[in-house]
Amino acid sequence: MRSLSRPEGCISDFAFDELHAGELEVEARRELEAHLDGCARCRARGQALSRERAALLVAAPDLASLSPARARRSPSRTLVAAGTVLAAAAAVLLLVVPKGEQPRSELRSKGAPRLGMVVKRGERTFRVESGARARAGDLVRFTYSSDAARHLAILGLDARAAQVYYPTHAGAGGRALRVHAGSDTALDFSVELDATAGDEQLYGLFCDEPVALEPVRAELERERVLPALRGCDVDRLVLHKEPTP
Amino acid sequence: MTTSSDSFDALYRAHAPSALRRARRLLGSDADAGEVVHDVFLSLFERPEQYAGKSSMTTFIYSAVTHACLNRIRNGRTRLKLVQANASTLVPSAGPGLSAEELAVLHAELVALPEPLGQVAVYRYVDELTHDEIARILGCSRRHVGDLLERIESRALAKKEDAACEA
Repeated sequence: MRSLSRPEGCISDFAFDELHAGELEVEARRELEAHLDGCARCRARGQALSRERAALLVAAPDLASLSPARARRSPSRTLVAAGTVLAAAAAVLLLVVPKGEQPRSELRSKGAPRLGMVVKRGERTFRVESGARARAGDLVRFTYSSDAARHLAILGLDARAAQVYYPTHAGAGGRALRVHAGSDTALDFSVELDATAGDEQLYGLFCDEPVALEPVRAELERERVLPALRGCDVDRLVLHKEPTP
Repeated sequence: MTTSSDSFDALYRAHAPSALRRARRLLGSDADAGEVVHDVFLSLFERPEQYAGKSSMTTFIYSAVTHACLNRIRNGRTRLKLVQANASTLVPSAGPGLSAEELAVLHAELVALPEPLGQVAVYRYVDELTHDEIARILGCSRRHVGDLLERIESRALAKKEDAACEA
């Protein structure tokens, strides 16, 4: 790993941040101020952080608009990433449901945990329901709603294979990952749809325990049917993948 | 913490700059950093109960941003791709921070580390925090932080020796 550039005893950015936020105890604040009196390096760093903070605040929007209800109505200017796709709640959401197909959400029992999907296609971002058409290259971001903390996993099955989409890294040990209760909470990853045409089944597993996922994935791929999982609620969505025109 | 717009606005203005500074340094991309910061604060607005009040808000935001950034870095190693409007690759930050080469090395190192070593590595080698500060963010003892750092150093040393043998 790398070596440290901050001299021993000098003030960290973290301490400056706590000082700025007014979170330091009186004694800690006095110590920090005493150090600043005698350390040109830390005075300069503190001033640089203040300038940076001030510059950012000038550019920052009035984030009272982060209220989800207001954010859904307008793609408000965001902190820094103007034009960047943000969490589902901050995007202009366009419901795309193919005619003649009943949105699966209407078939689910009330109170059951459920998945949601937001698709980014080029510069457009829109919410989709189960049964929607999607294209290769679309980026799909998932949301979930659950009245209680559960262990969540998302698996996908297309014509070729089954995959675990969430959790997305080995740090979860190949098991469903605990998530808090939430409503339409965006998960911090997205899936790029590949060119395999046809239906992609998406399974949201909301489990009481951190179930091991590889056996589930393997059986799903082999049998093309999700195995029965004790202690899990399952929400199934379908995306119909079309070739890019 | 309340969820009124005024108090949330004050909280955002107090903590968003440092959150953005850290996310930029870790991710090397202004666009990704903006998304992380937005997501962290939107999540806090929607579910304020996730901040239990047992630590300072600064420690909570540091932890949330670190988790979000590590997730993005790790996701970049799979077929999963981050939602980005403009860039498909990481762009070095314009501000003080790591060069593109340093960033690539750092990301490779972080991807290889299991939790909580990844977080500890970020706090120690990117944020350059003291053991005490890391312990406060993680909610553990300084001794435990020292143990975790030793594990990181041991892994780095073993990796270096493996590379030397292969060469």
